[in-house]
Amino acid sequence: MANKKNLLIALLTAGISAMAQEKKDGLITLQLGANDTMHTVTAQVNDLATKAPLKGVEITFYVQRTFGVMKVGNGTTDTTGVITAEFPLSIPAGDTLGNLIALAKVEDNAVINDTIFRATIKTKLSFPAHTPVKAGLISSTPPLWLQLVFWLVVAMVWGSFAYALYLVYRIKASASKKIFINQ
Amino acid sequence: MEKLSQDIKDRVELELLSTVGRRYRQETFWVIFLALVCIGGTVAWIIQLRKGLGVTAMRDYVSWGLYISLLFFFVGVSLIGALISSILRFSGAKWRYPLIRIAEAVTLSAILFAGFMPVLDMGRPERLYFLITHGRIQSPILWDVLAIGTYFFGSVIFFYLPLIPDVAIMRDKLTDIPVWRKKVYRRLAMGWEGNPTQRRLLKKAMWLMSVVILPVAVSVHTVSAWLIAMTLRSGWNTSIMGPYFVFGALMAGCAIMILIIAILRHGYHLEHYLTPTHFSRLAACLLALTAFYLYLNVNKYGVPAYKMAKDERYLLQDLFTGRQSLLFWFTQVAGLLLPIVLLSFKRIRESIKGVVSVAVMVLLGALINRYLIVVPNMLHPFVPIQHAQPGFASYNPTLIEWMITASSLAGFVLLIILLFKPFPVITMWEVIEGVEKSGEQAVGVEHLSNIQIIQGHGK
Repeated sequence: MANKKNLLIALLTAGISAMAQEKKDGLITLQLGANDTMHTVTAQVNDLATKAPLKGVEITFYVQRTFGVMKVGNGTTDTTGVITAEFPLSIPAGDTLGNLIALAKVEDNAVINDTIFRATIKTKLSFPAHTPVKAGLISSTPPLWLQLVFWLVVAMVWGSFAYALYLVYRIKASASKKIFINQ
Repeated sequence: MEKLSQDIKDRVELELLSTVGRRYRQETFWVIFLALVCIGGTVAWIIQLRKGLGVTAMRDYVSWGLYISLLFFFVGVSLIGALISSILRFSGAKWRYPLIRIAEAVTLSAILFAGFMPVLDMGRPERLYFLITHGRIQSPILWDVLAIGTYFFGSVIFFYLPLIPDVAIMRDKLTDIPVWRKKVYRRLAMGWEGNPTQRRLLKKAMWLMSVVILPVAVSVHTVSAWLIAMTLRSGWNTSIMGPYFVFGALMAGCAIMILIIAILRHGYHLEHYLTPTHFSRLAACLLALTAFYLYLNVNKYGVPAYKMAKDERYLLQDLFTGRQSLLFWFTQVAGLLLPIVLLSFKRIRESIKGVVSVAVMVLLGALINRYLIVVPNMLHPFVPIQHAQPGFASYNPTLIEWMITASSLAGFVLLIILLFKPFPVITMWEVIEGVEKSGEQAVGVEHLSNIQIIQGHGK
């Protein structure tokens, strides 16, 4: 694709030693890209020591969200140590600047130790979106009818309370004599 | 009906005023005990404020525990004021007269502590200020805070209005009290002389408040229900929550009313005014409300149980046969089914001990039911919470939570007792007026012409 743009963003290692001695430490190279409709994320898994591609490593891909991560795909590496997943361009993740963080996670794998790699990509979609959300009950701006009904009800109730207190005042005003207290 | 003689009126007033300011040994014991529990709870709250909500068992799953359960209980109990003062007023029930002040005191105390509970649930209570400055009117939390505040203010007015003629009686008849109390009574009496204009104005104000307080009370309970019903969670995601809360509140309010009038009748020797008639009538109300609440429970739990949809299944299994099953079946059987059966017998409805025993069962069931509405539903979210520790998926309240909860309940009872120290328990003028208009039987009082004066104030 002409507009296909691949970016190599980050390489991180996090060698978490596993119980089994025969497991290797892995190196994951994450490559993020995009076509017309989808983001693509490609992971290349190599042995950290020998740099040889590792086959049969199950990887789960996530994107970072505000309070957690969202799974977008998973799979197992082929003989060349490569696995690719796709997720929509309109995925609601990333920040207001359009930075989207993708993660590749290996857990309980027989070949390499548990590890996480992450990469950041600049997307065309900023999130949360800058475009104002249409007014509704669950939006940030209440609709006019709700504001009117809300304040009308509040005014009616508190107005009734005020009137009841006014009647109490009139009770006092309608007393024919002043009452004195004997000491 | 014949007018009561001035002598009988004086005797009635003297007897009812005899509880004002008087010390009772048992009452003093309970006041001290409840105050100590409140102090313990305050210490626990200070610890919670200093160390944060980590001292509670509330975590990622259960973020509303005992405190919010108790909020729903207090909100529920507070509906009794609207039931007695408004619903019974419009239904023309004269027997409500001796109960009005008690119901309003229960309402006042309950709604005050209902307002406290969300504050106790907050790790940073000072942030409540932001609800005023940054509140969103489309948020049920704002509606709830506003509704509780409105209901509290309305209840204060409703407590005060029928008090005006009584305070005037106290102003005129309590001669051996300190001057400052006389001044307070004088101010509160608003120059009441009982002239026709004042009577007309008072009745108008009381009628207005009776009309307004009912929708306000219903809105408090409905909005409290919406707090959870507008959240997408299994068990909460149902449209029945509004009426479920309102009728649960009426039932719990009726039960606590029976319990409190039994205590006041015994403690303050008000046997002439709080008679078996009142217990029998309230028992009939309780029977009807309990039966209807059971019907709502069948709908709330039975309908989803028939379908056993995936999202609801784990919650329902937890309630029916799982960890919460003992509590769940207690509320359904001992808190609803058994009371309905027992109250169906006229002999039990006419026995004060029988009615009180049933009311205790209903009240206990209602209290536990609030816990079951809140906690098990939070333990079964639609989407599992990520990275939560295994211990977070259960909820066992800590000592701090129990202490704060116990002190809130103690404070609720204590405030009711304290409200009856400066004011008479029974609305004197309304009872006298009611007896003159409709007779003792209709009002439910007994032998007013043969009252033996208990040691009190005055002559």
